[in-house]
Amino acid sequence: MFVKKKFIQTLTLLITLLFIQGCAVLTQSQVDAVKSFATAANNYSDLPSTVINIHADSKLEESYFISANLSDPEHIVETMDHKATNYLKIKKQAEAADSALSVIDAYVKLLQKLSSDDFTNQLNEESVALGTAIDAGIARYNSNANDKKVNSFGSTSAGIVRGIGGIRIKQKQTEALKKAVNSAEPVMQTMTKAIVALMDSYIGNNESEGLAEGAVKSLKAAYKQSLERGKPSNSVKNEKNITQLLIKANSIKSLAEKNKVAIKTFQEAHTKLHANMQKKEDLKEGIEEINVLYGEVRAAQKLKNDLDKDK
Amino acid sequence: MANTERLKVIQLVREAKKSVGSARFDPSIRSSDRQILEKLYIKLDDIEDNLILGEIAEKVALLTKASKDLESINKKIKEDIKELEGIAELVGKVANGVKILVNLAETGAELLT
Repeated sequence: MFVKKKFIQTLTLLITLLFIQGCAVLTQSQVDAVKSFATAANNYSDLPSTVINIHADSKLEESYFISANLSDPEHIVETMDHKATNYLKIKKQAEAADSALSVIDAYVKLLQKLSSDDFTNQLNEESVALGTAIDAGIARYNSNANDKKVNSFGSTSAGIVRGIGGIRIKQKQTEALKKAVNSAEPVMQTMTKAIVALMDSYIGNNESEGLAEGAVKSLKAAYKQSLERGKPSNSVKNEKNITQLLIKANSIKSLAEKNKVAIKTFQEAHTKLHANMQKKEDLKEGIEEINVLYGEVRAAQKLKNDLDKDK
Repeated sequence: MANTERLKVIQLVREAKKSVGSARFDPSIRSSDRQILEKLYIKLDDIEDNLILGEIAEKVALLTKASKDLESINKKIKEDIKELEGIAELVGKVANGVKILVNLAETGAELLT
């Protein structure tokens, strides 16, 4: 009874000290903000490369019509060679965009890991191992001791380690999460700007046509010139084929527009997360932090009780 | 080159390419002129492709540069995660140390008896 009382007193004192020092701990609303950000980021990364890839495919289709319209064999070979190289270069840009955006995926996963319960769960297991080891040692000592027996204190030790360690982990998680999100916010803004600029190149503006519209027009022009030259002649099969190509080329602009909206939503989610990570002094935040600390003490107490029950 | 400027040039080149492309098939022009027009058409197509590639590459380069900064942030997060795992691991090491001490004490006691 005395040990249990002492255990609670120690933890209460510890928590009070931590509060006086103003050490913040990871709160549920911060974990939720990470989750919201992760949802916004989910499956985003392959969108910009899809736009570039469809554009590359459309340019390749156009190149078949262009080559078919040429009369000089040297020009045909030269053009096909140039078009193949250009196609691969555009595809390489799509790969580079993919590779750059895969870093966002990794960032999201790391934030999720950083805000998870994995660390306190691991601490729980190790604390149990410590408590059991201490009790085993005491039991061995008692079995050899002739006169004065020692009361077992493994569960209390484990509980204290779990309590202090849990609070330390929550603090460290908050510090690390804040540091990560604060440094990532300007980088995320730069990445968003780069993606928006890339998508704007496809969408265009009031002053100039975008690459998407250009791809559709070029494809139409190349096909029209083919018809003028009689290669290929118009037939149901050819019309069907060109219609499908135009549908694909037309999708570039709408996909780029969706992409622009998606990256902006994604950036907003990160900015919200960033705002959430800033130190708040309001009552709600204070209560939330108390709840987290109380949760750690309860986890420590539960662990102690469980170990006591097993004896 | 600014985004709008390059897009404007691409549009102009595309329109020129379209005109030259159609002119090639004008029945009134001589065969030698047709060859010159075809050469010009290929050249314009080449310029258009290079400008388009430049437009995409410029934006992707910005993206790649920013992603390098995020990559170094990820590296730091991994270090922090390792440190967090270290807190629990330390407790595990202490538990193992206690076990070893208990075993040693027991072996010592057995040797003395």
